[in-house]
Amino acid sequence: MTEVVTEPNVPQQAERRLTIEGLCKTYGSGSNAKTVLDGLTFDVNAGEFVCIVGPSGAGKTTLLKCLSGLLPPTSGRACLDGEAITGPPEKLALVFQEYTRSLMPWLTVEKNITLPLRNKGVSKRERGERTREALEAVSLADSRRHYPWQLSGGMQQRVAIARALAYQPEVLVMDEPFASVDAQTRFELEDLAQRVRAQFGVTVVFVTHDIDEAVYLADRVVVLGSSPCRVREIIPVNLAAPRDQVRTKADPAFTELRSRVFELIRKG
Amino acid sequence: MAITVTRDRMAPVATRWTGSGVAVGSTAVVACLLAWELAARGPLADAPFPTVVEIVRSLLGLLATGAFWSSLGQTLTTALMGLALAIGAGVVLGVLLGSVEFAYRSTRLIIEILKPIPPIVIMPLVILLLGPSAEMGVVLVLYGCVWPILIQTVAGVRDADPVLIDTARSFGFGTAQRAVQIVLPGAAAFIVTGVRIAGSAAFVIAVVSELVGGAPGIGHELFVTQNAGLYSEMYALVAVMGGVGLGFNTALHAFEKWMLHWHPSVRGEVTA
Ligand SMILES: Nc1ncnc2c1ncn2[C@@H]1O[C@H](COP(=O)(O)OP(=O)(O)OP(=O)(O)O)[C@@H](O)[C@H]1O
Ligand SMILES: [Mg+2]
Repeated sequence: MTEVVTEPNVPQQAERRLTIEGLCKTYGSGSNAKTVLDGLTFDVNAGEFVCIVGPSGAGKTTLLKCLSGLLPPTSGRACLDGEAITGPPEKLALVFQEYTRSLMPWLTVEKNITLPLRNKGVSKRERGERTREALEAVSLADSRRHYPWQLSGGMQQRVAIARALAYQPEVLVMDEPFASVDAQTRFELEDLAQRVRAQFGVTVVFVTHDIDEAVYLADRVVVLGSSPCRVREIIPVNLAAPRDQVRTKADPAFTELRSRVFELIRKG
Repeated sequence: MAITVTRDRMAPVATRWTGSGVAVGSTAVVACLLAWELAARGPLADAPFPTVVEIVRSLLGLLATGAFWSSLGQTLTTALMGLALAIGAGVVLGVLLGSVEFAYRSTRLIIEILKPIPPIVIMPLVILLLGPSAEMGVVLVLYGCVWPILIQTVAGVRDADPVLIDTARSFGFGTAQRAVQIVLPGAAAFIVTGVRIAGSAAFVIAVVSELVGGAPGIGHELFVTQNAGLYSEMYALVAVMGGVGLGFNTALHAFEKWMLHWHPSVRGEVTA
């Protein structure tokens, strides 16, 4: 990113990690064609925590798949550090919405985490260190020899997060990661997401359909409208950090922000 | 987080043979042997139908000869080699056919046609090519065993979870890494079932290739004793085959459980 200085007409490039420009995605073709994403444009800065909210079926998962190089866009592009994303980038890790299905049931928690590292050529010693660190970050150090199916849903989700952390991405993309856990676990996981971001300094793109969660976690909230999906508004969240489940949520500014997001989503 | 977790890899599983099951089973076996003994001494005394005692004596005699052990070894080698080749061929081909849509479509009909042809039907052709040899037996076992493994592998590969595949792709796994580390273990439940079905046929086909096709082995011994009218030896051999077949199946079951200790069908309770 040192060469950015030589491009004076794009002075902000240095901070921009992800740029999404006129991204369109159409599933199928001919009479079955269904346009899901219709010209999305927004940026994510380095170290920023961006939440994406939108109604169910809007195209949030589709957007993340394009961002993470799993799905080619129909037109427009997504760039990571100025380079168009054409395949899964090494700097990016994705935590799937269906986390139970994204863990390998035949491998222990530890092996689930080390497999991507092994394929990447990380040395055995470093694999062990990273795994320990990641499992400690999600407070699962005691479960490393267990199989995913021996753990509760919330614990499995934390394994998926630990695997992404151990991969040491610069960008962490999460798709409704806390959608199917109880409220208490959810709060714990939200605070975990905050800690992780502070501890590892990653850029986070976080999809959720929970407005409170979005406002609580984000530096900016991208509100999407549906059919077809467009960016409705981008709302900066200037709440004090670190955030606190009780104090932040009692802040009048928080209430005002969540009402605004709610209004935007309700308008459809 | 006070969640207790089963530490055992192999949580207690409903076994096929419970204690009382074994007791009932063995009683039935003893009853059958008794009935045989009575029949052989009474109404069937004149038929070529030796008593159990005579058969056991022949069996003990057989077990003491080196020739018996070498022909049994020969048959087991034929069965296991054929099965191993069938697993290799079936799994490799299955992964290819299962992951390449065009290959799957173009071969489906051929497989459907070849699958029901019993190995004994192609025996004359194989004998013509290889003679009444051990290789002939191996080829027949391979032919008889490859279909269930191939078909199960294809089904398992096509059943692979797209979320798991996408997960692997997002972590930069290459095609070969995905095939070996994700698709294959994911299809393991299907494949192992195929291996179990194939395995129980392997020994039978090996024996038939010797009995009918003349390949060396315990099946050939059976043919010889039958022709020579050595009936108690013949039945002793049959008893040996029954025992070996049972051992084969037990081993296959143990193999299945060991391979699939993580799978919902084998592991104990399912935690959501
Ligand atoms: N592979 C596909 N082929 C065709 N249509 C698809 C495909 N995947 C998704 N869609 C459609 O695209 C639309 C957006 O799906 P997507 O999964 O991106 O929504 P989402 O915003 O993630 O929803 P949710 O909040 O329920 O997870 C849906 O209407 C869906 O039916
Ligand atoms: Mg989704």
